[in-house]
Amino acid sequence: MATADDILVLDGVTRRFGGFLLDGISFRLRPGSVMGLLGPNGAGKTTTIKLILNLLHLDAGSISVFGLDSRRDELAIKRKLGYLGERAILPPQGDALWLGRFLAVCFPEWDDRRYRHYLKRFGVPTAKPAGTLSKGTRTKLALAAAMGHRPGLLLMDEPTTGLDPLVRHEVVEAIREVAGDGRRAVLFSTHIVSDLEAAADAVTILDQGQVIASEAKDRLLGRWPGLSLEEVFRRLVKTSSIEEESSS
Amino acid sequence: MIASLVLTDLFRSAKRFAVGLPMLVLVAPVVDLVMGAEVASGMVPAFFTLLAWDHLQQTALTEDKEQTWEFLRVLPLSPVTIVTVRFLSNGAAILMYALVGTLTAISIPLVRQAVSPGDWPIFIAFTVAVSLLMMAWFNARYYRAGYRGVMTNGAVTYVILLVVGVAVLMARTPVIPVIRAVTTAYHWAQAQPAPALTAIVASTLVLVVLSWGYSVTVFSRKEFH
Repeated sequence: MATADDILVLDGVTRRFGGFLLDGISFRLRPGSVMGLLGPNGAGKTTTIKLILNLLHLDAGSISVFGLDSRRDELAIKRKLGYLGERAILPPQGDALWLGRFLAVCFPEWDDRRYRHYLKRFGVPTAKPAGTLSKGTRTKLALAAAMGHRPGLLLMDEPTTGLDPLVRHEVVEAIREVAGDGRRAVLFSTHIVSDLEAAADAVTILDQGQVIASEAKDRLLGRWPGLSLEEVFRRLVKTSSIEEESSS
Repeated sequence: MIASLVLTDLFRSAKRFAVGLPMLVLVAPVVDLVMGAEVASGMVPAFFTLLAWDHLQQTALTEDKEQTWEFLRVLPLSPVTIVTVRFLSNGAAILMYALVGTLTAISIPLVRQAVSPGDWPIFIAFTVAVSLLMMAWFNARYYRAGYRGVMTNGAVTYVILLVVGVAVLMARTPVIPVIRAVTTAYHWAQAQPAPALTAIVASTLVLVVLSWGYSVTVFSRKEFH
């Protein structure tokens, strides 16, 4: 049941394109929570995040962020939202300082000291154009940029894919830190279960465009005593696929 | 915020200006020396229009390569803001080229004398209007179909114009009424500069605003898969 305090509420979110159907998915995210959006390739994780960002449009259902409608109040929401995609899209000619100045124009609550703090902490060079940085460093730059305005909700789409273990650890640490003050939240999609185990306290599992589980990680594991999250995930996805095949 | 974003966008084009503006400054004297003032006075606006087209194309190519649309759409910027910044930035670049081109042409005595003083406002307004209309057409196509779409479309349009142009030139007779109509319009504009200027500016602004509105509408509906 959704409450007024929920940071993110998806209710019956539906989107169809080509042969894919995101079929009435619903879940919610509380303040202080880190939710992992888990699913095999093509399950609908990226589509869900793009729908929240309004990069894709809903066919049916609703998305509420900070109690605001994702379509009607798009700008108000995005002022309090940080985003990091799998491919860190950054203007390649600009360096980190240029990016900071640009984002300061876009975000009224931009905190340059905070941004520079993250740059320093992640070891991102400030004078090198983003296009010349390695994938890991670009991801860290994008993460610093996503956190420079102290977002109330951090959305991350496969943030750790293709990164070395050291960078992945830093990203996971940052994820935990964001939600640490109990007022903000993180939703991150991944298919790397170990990252989710390390960072998330809630899990939503998607398969073939449907939510097959959405609850606290401990409660989910409690229903499958002795199994790791990866094993639970595999069993749930397998069961879902068998049910899908028998119903069709 | 829009002014800051326009300035940021113009600064990003600094290298392009650094190459284009000196070329614009050099073209008039060189053409003047080689081909005479009459040709030079016509070459400056032609070259200026070419630079404006190159600017539009390069800006769109850069945005396409850098996935700028997706980058901007995750920020708290509305489609209206994003499209407005592009139009204002392109418009400012065109005006800058126009200013430098005009100053260059005026600063060369022989070129200055080739155009009668009363014709200068019409001459400049017509050149800027052509570039702004080019921008209006380009941006409307760009926001609808993206960089690849606008370039494919541009190439198809170019080929159609070339084929039609060659056909018209070979037929010869239909050319005469067209030339006569253009000459009549130009003579009318020379004789009555004030209404001509008003008509050029007003019709250009209306078409640019229509293009802007269309671009905002199609960009708002755009999805990023």
